[in-house]
Amino acid sequence: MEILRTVNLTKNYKDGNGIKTVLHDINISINRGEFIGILGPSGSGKSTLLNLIGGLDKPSKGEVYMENERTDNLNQSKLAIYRRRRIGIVYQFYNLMSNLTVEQNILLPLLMDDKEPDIELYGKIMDIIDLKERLNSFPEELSGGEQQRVAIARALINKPSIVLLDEPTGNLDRENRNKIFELLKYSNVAFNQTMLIVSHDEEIVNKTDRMIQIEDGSIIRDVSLR
Amino acid sequence: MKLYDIYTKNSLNRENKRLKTLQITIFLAVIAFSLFILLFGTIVRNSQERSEKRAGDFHTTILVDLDSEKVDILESNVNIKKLGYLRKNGIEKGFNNKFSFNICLGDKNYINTMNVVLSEGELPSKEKEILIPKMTAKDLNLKIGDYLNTTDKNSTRHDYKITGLIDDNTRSWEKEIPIYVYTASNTLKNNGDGVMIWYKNIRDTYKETPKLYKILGLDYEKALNKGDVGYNFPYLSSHFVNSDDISVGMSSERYPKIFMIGLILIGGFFVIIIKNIFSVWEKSHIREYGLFLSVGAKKIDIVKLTIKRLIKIAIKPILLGITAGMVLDFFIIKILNKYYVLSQMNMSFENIEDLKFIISPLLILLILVISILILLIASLSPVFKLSNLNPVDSMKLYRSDNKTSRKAYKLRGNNFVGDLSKINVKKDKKKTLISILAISISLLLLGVVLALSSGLDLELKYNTPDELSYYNYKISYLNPQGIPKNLISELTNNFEEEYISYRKHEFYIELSNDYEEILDQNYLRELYPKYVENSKYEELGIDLIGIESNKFEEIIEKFDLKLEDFSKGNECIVVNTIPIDSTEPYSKLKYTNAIDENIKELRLNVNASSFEEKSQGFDLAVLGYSRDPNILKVLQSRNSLIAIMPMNNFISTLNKLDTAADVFNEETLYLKLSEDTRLEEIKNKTKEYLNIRDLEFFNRENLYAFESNSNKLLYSLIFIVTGFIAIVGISSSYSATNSMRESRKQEFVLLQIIGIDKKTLKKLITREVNYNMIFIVIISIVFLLISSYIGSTAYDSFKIFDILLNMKIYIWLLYLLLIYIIFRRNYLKSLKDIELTINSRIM
Repeated sequence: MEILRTVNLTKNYKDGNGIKTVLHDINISINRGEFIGILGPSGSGKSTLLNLIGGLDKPSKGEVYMENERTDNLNQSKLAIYRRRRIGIVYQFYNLMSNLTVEQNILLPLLMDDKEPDIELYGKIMDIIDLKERLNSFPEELSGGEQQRVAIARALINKPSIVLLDEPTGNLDRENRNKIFELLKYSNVAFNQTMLIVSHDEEIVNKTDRMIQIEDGSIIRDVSLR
Repeated sequence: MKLYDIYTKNSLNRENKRLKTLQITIFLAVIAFSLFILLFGTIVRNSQERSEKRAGDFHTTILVDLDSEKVDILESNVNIKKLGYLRKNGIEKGFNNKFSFNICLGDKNYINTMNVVLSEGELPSKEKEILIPKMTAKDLNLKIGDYLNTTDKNSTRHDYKITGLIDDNTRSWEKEIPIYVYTASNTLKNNGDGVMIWYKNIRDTYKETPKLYKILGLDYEKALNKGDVGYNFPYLSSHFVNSDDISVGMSSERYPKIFMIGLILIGGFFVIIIKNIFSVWEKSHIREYGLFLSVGAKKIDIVKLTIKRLIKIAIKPILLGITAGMVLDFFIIKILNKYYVLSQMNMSFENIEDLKFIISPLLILLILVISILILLIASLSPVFKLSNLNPVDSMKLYRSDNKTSRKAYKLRGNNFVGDLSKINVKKDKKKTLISILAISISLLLLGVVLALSSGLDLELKYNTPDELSYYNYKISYLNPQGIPKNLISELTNNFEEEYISYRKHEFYIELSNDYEEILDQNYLRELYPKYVENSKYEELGIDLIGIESNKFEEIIEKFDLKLEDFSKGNECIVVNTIPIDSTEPYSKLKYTNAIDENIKELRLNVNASSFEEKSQGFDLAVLGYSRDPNILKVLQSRNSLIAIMPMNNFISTLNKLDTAADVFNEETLYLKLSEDTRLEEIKNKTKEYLNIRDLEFFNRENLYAFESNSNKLLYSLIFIVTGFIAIVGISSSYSATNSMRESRKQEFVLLQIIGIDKKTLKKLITREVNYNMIFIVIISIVFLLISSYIGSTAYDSFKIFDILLNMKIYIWLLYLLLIYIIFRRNYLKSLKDIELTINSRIM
């Protein structure tokens, strides 16, 4: 079942030399439960694509549909709700609020909505991330890998339509990178969670189910890897 | 190293906006220092010029009969720079005139000190050349170049050539006029009776003078007790030379303390603000410094880099600040002079010196040094932290400043905004505190200024006795002769208008009167012990007042007495009132009686028993008591009783005393005339009867010109200082909010990414602002109380709550409101800074 669709998605930016087109007529369709890797070199537009899908930026042209609802023309208020309830985002850096504990960081999207977590889901996520003893710790007390696990838990806690991950392992060593990827893979299978992971690392992307390769703002390859 | 220079240059270019806050604060700090130091320099210089004008520039005078041995001792003393020899040569009678002249011989150095009072002509430089008071020359119809002829006690004639006229306050009736005769040093070295000393180092004055006394065979302690040691206190004090043992009560004695306190207060204030801004700014570069360390830089390189960067940032605002400070100083002095000169008009010296605009290289250097010192002190803590930087920690995304374990606070969905804002405020407690401290200190300074202003207002309203509240003109006649009745008759339209004319002298009620008997029993029990403790005398003070007979008759009618009842000469009426608490403001004084009204006799003395000089007392017969402290309708001393008698009796009583001062040579005439009477008319009428030299005229305007213009001066200063504090406080509000905003930017972006909407974010930010403001308000209330306390110590007739309730609180509240508006506006500006469309790429 299709969960996300973009239609002629284009994004331009003004820079010192005039207008730069970062994304050019991107058309993709993503089904529920897919684990997709977006590959591309630095500056290819992959992070921009993620931001447009996540409602963090507005396209210069084109449309974004999430579960058949157009999202690119939502107002600020509705976009905030959209991100809170239907998107989970994990970045390479600065994922956590430094003044909140691990548990509070994980529950943040639910607390914004004044909702209680799904107990069963919460328990499963806690098992997956394996940080039960650190729930009252603060971000600076955690290692890089632990911080990313917390960020992933937060991205999963509100059962989003899609989880967007922008170089989530870029900051980690090989061991932690593998651990995180395994965690993502597990979540994808266990919760049938649609995931879109952006990376410049081919090794990571090759482990996903489908690879979309972007270069100079255009899709040059979209293949299934299963 | 070139790399660091490139880094510094680039970072300064790219962080222009952020730097502006720091630079503006440094600029304001330097202006504050410049103004303080330059104005202080102006006031000190003015004080020094005034003291030199009044008293000359010598350091001390020693009265000693000179001979060659003593002269050798003095001239060989290595600490002495210059000596001036003098001699009081006794009285010579004027030839063909009624004056006597007190001949003062002096050598060149002594005569040169008269330059400050030289009104016309030149200083004498040859034998028999003299200086004479201007008014005496006028009386004798002499001018410069003429000769004054005298005969001495041996009937030898002297002819003195007048080379110069000096200002002198002798009255028309004073017959012994001082004249200053040039005499060669060599002559005076053999027969002089005094020496004026200038030390090489003025600071040696109090140390070396006692030693000199000893070497010259004189008793320093005795001379000190008698008041015969001729220290030039005004000059010495104005040059910051004060004795530990002798307090002369000059305001300039307090200058060094005031200067240090001012520097510390202003310096401390700006150290906190600058440290705060600088600290936050440098923190934002910690990861970069970590990078430097990780690629091979030394910690000392980082420290040098930081200090170099601060100096580069600070150079322009320091130079601009000094310039702006000088310009502002110029205009402030112009404003102050407008009131300062007027405020000095009632002082006795004719030539009032304006406050001068002073710029000297030394002052500029002082400002520069202090500014740099402040910057270095402000940077100490951040630089110290940087020098202990751990490269690994500095590169971390999340750093904790708090080494102790951190407490977790609750975060609930149904109070998300409230809980999250509280968490942020509590977690950032230290940062918040430092930011708010700078604002709070400006509130304290503002509070102190408002408290002093409040105290001044209360003082003027309730504690400044209005000498002309009932009468509207006052004539002071400084002459032992009485004011003629004809003049009073003419001035008062044949005694139709109200008037009173009297002379006054202070006395003590001797202890030989049995105080247990003479005092009212209630007063004796409850108030007398307090009086003794506060005044340090056991004797009660009493002012004896001699009133012109017509008026006196009028007053005693109420007592069913006549003038004839006062024929023996020692009869009086006692105004038997004394304040219950003399520390209360004048307008709130409550009175009680002190003397038992059955007592018929009191013995008075001009000196208290504790005085070294003993004098004979005299008896007064008390014919009646009055309970009206305002019986004369002119406010009298609040700490003394009053005894009134006819003027003639007063004069003859005082003439019998051999130690009474010639203070009673002043008669004061108060007049209550119609409002359309002009002071010029009064002056003209009076001049027909009396010598203008012996007169001073006052009306309501000029009597209080001194106070009124001094107060306007003070108010102007208060206004300027308040304005400046407000500007600095507002600037520090901006910098505090900017720095707090900067540190929260990433978190606000993250919250938006996770899904907080702008409205909720605005609520969150507003809530945080409100918490900060509550904190500021609580601190400011405490500071308000502290300020009131300071105000009540400066104006000690008023209590803390008197000062507080009279403060112009609306200024305070307005200032708080302004800070709140700035806080809120600045914080909410964050909403623009954290637009996702701009910031999404930086995640």
